[in-house]
Amino acid sequence: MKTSYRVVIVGGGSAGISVAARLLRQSQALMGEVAIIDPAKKHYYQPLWTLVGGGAAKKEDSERSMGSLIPQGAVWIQDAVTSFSPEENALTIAEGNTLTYDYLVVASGIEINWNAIKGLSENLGTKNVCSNYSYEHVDYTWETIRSFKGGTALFTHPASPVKCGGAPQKIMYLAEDHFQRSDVRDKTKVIFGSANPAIFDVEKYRLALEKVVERKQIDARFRRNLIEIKADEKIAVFEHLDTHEIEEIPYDMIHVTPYMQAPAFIRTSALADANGWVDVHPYTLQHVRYANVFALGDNANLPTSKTGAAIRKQAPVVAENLIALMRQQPMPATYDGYSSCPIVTGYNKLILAEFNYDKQPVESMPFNQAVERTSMYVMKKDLLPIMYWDGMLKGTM
Amino acid sequence: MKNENAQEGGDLLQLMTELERPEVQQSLTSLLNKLPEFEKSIDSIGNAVQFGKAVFEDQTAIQKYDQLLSTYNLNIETITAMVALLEKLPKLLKLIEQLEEIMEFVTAVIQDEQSVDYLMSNVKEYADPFVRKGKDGLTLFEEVQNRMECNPQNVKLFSLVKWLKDPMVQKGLCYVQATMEVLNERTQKNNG
Repeated sequence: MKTSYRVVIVGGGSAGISVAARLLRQSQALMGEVAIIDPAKKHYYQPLWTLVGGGAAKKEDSERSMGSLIPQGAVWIQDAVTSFSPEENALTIAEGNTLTYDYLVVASGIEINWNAIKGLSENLGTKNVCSNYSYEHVDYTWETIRSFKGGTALFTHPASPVKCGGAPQKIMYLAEDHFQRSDVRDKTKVIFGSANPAIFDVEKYRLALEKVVERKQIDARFRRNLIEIKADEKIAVFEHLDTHEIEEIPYDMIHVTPYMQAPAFIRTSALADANGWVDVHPYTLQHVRYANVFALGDNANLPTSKTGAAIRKQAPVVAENLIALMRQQPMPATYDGYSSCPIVTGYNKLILAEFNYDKQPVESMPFNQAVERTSMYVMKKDLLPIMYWDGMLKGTM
Repeated sequence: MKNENAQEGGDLLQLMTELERPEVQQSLTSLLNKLPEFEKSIDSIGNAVQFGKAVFEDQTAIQKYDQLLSTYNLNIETITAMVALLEKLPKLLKLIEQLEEIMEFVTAVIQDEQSVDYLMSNVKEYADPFVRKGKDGLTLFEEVQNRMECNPQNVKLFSLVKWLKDPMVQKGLCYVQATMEVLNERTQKNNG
């Protein structure tokens, strides 16, 4: 087995595959010299899971085999990284082998901690406790919403960074819309228990979403952090993040967004910052201490929302800067913190939030994206998956 | 005069000292060894110059190439255009790259069976309600036609009276009545 590569990419998710495809498109000389390390056999287009949970898409459409997505010219090492030795330009994989590299790209994503909320992992997928954040259980969300006969429907957002900050509320809007259609809305109280201080971070979209919450008569409670689920009694225990008061909310169904964190092998490595994320320069995406290391996607400590759309803008920056470094040229590309969140506000309705590091809207469409539109819903449901599989992962979009 | 002689003697002495240095002697030896090669090169340059001269003096050849060139539209306009195009190349390159990416994306979609299936099933989802409505209409028409063909009968006055009680016929007749009233009112107004 070859143990030395020009470029080693840790992670075969959206970020890792996009960067590999772009590097290989830009330099033919890298054929066979780009290794992607990932133990997963399957690759998931997770943005679709919101629609799967809302009964508007099939989960099978979100899954493809990893082998079918590895770009031609890249070498897939199906293993897990256990440790990094950036001083020696080396890393070790679970098999025990050491791999060396000239350049390293860290794109290992985000880790879900199912055990951070007491009572969650053992009850997930039963007793009306559901979560869109697992391929295995995403169907159960729709089952729960579909069979809901009224009462309290509770949706949560944890006190940790999450992938796609808008997702915890998207499923709530879809559920509320379904309750209207299935004639149980009058008998239902929808509560949003969020650790955040407001419904959204960017003012323009916050104002629009506040109107949605008001129209849908959702009881939004902020700075509330879910710490325990008593599934048998159907009680959710929240802690107020400012007053530290404990509040128990009885529910009839609960959708939980779990705690998320940097993957353990990143957190404990020399590449991490104090919070466990890979410490990179926010504009060049180059590591602040190791010049031949880059990071992007959910595992990077970039002060922006962790989304696939953000990766779409980060991948070309990493590829261009890495190639420039190889050619001993100044790095030409910069990332402005762009991130996007297509916030589904019901079946056939969507607000397309796009913004940068300064939390300023940077909209791509020639119309006001804070308005709920069917066209944008169609784009999310029908076009974005195709753009992902055939554009982003091929290095052309 | 004496001074001049002394100066010359000094220069010669300096030259001799330089020549006595082993590295200088080595360089001179190497230079001497390479002299035949240099000579050949100088000959080649000479030949090339001779050839150039001969071409310039060969009026027939010049005329031929002049005629050949004159068949192309190579003039100051084309040269200016070429320079302008060169200036635009960076912008054009960006456009071509974008076009290339779009073409590659479209090719990838077409070749991706799963994506095509996904798109088709979604299009079907949008089209289904319309298709169903169309099919319902068609079924109704077919049923009416079948019954008419299978059950040809003479319509009697009694049947007509019976129909009048049917709510659908009543509704239709109400429309007719309302239309006639409105039309009458308008005609009266216009005449008045």
